[in-house]
Amino acid sequence: MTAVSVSLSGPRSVHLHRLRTVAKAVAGRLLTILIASFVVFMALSAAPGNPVRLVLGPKASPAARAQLEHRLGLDQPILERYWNWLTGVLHGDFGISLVYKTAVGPLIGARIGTTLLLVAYAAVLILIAGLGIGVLGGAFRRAGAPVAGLTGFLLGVPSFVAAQLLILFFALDLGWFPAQGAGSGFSDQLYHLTLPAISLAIAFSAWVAQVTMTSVREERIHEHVDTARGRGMAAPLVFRRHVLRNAAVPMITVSGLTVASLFAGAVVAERAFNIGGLGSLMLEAVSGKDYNIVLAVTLILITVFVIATSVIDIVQYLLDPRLSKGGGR
Amino acid sequence: MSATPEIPVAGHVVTSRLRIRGGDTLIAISAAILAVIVLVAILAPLLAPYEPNQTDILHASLPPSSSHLLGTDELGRDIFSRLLYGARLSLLGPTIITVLAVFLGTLTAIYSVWIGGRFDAAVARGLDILFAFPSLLIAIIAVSIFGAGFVAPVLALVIAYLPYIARVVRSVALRERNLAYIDSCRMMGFSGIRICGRHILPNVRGMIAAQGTISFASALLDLAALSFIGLGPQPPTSDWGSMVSEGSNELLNGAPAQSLAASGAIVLTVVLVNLIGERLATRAARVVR
Repeated sequence: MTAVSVSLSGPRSVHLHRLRTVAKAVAGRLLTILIASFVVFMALSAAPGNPVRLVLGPKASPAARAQLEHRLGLDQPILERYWNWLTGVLHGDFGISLVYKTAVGPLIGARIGTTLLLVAYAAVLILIAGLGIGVLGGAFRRAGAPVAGLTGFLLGVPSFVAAQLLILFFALDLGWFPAQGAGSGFSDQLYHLTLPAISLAIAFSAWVAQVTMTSVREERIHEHVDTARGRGMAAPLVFRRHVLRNAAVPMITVSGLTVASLFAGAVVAERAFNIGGLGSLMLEAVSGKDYNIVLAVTLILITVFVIATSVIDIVQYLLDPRLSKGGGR
Repeated sequence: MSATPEIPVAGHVVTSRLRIRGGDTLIAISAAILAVIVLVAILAPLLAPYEPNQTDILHASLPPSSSHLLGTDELGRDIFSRLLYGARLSLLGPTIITVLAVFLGTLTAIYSVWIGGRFDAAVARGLDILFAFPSLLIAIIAVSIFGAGFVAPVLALVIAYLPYIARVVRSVALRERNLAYIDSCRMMGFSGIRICGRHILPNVRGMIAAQGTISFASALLDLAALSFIGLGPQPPTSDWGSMVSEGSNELLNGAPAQSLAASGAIVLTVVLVNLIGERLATRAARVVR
């Protein structure tokens, strides 16, 4: 917060410079999303296999085919199609699903809630377990080796493997949680999504914990920490003010990247637990060559990723104003 | 190529030795186990007691026994044999990904750093855009274009992993390029290719080895995940990821052998590779400092 107040009281040129930096960053991010969407759109359009043929079957008459092509806008030049798609998306229209024969937007709307809940649930678990275990391993010398061993192992346990073990023990043996499905109603969904969230959280928590432990350890050995201790400051206070605060930047970076990657990871976890979310919609669309859905979900995932990395940058900057001075170094 | 450079190059000798020291018992054991896993994959046809795709309905869903070490699946196929054969694609995929991504990534990074200026800035920007795609997403898009199987996900993951390699190599190469010895090489009239290949490359080699090893582990996980969600090699061919998927039904019916065996193979391999990668990374960091 101090960084902001300093900047506001600074000279006008600094103010302008900062504004320009922000504008540049936002433009760069938008450009990234735009280019990414263009590349994916072109790639999907160039894919072998005609979607119209897939819908109408090989025996359809040329007239019927031409009519559907016209209705879907497939008879237009590719750049125009991209432009139409893009302007449609900006108005909230993601096109029509060839398989479901309805608008893509509502299809996604019906599914995204479950995925959001799953991702949020997993994110909370990751932040608690990852940051907690990491700080523990960094703060106490004796906890270092066990934490390193544990996280090194858990990093190699992907969600679908964790899912098998969780289903085996907690769903089949103990019967504490359901093995499949997402449930209905908030509390029931939360109950159903517990095992999926844990399966997603395991490897990511290990990653967050590793980065946290390393950064806490690196901060601990600095001289100002010894100095603060020498001045008679209480150890917990030193740890909070001089170690944790400095270690926060990498901790936040890795947490943000984790949350961003969770959406892609949800595709796998949803499959493992038979959950009807965004990921399972995407998988159906991939096998059914339902490109408008693939495009829309891809756009959502990329946008989430870009937003998450932007938030990381902003938080980093607020925590450590030095980062802004070097520019893009 | 036979003429050795007259100037002493710091770091060159150190990075070129990836030998195992006495204290690294854990690494030695990991490497040995990995070697056994690779050998098993290569020798699968000799070691497997049954044909991996041979169905035998009369002996379906058998529990583990002396004739079927891990039992049989719902089609009566020997799970142990399938596990051994599954090792082949499970290891071949990440190997191809790592080799290609390391080669292309290193080439891109060093070339772009050497040319510098606007070209370098454009390459860096391109890498940033690639970073906006989670690796699984790139692979899923590739599958929706080219269809499920072994090739599309592998090639897609090469593209997905390229920026990770390129970014690490680029940061180290950038620092090397601005050191005085590179200037002196140029003044002696060495060609750009020679300086890049014989002076910059050896100094980033440790980093490349570390990053490549870590990439191998995550590529294995990504490919296994893709197979698990049904986008990898199609039946009857299977790798460890699809075995976990096929086994998950049996697991729900009380026969967890297939799912657990394939899971164990994935976790064991990844953990061992990560151990080695971590060690290489700390060593490379030490050399750079």
